[in-house]
Amino acid sequence: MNAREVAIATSITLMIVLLAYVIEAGGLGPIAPEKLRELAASYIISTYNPWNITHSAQSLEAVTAIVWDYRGLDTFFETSVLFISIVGVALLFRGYREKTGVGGRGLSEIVKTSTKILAPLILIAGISIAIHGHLTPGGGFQGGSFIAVLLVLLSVVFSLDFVVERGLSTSRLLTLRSIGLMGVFATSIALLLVGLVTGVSAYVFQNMVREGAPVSMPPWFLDRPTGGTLLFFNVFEALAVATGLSLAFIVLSLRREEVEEALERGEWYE
Amino acid sequence: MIDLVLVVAGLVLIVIGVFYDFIGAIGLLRLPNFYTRLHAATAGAIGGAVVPMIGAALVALGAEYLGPPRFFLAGAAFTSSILLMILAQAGSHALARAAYISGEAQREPILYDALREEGGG
Repeated sequence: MNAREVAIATSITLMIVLLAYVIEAGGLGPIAPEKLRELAASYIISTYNPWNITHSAQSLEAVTAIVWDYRGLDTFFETSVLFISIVGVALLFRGYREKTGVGGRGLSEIVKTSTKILAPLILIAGISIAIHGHLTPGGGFQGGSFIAVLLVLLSVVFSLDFVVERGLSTSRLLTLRSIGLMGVFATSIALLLVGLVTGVSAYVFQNMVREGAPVSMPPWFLDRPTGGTLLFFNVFEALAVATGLSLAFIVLSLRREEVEEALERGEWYE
Repeated sequence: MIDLVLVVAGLVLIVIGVFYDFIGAIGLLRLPNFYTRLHAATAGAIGGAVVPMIGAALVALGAEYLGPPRFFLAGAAFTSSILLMILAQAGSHALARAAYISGEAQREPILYDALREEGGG
């Protein structure tokens, strides 16, 4: 151990100790400035306010309320951007068709057994994060990513044939992806359509009752707040993200036999 | 009395975890090849994460001033420790097997190679 290593170790240790002391002594000032607290308070009051639903998103999670209610149009286009990038991947590999029986035995028995124990837990955790998106941190994107990770794990551990044989081929994944996006779109205009049919005014991306717009999503499920549209948005977003990300993974894990077949088919097109 | 026993047992497990983490960190830096370093990392994962998580569950159970939420804390810590115990060994097993089959990692120094006698894993 030379002098340089000693100097590096000493300086890192000193920095950690001093930083801990400064934070402990409150040397960085109050964590949140006073000005921000009013803004935060107004969001907290308006995201969940069961006594005055006109000024409420009926969601216990402020982030989900902001993402899908206050700036829902923005998030809708973000989802569309992800969809368009998946469509771009599908377009780039347009001769692609997955082949089964190419080979690939997967990993060893120990890893397979561990994955069998954990796979249902990952699926349940993903679904739970998605449908509790308006109650706890998380939401549709995070839950969908969980489920996509499960599919990636299964295709690595058990081989891609295992996933494809259980009905998750790329064409079906793309169909499910489109259904998810259509669900998001349908949820965003559902109350507008109800308003048009019944002859009262309503907004696009309307969630709860607003002044002059008396239509509303169900604010309660039994005694629990549903978040109105937030629940549907999260479920459809989870479906879209899970199928889209796993589609991209399956297409990008291109194997040699598939490339050869795609090239042959490409020559037919020309 | 039972609370005190739980807290002390939990703290002992956490101290054992600190010891394993320390040994794992030193081993990761000083051991000669990939497999022995992986062994040190796994010792850090099982002894340095699973054991202190069980200890944290016991401390949470014994700390009565935390109120009813302490059962949630204990349950979450206990479940995570069991999941990690299943996952950490599977991950390091997959890594070691991939490194052995591909032949990317240096095998020396080696005393006994059971996989080679069976015919290459």
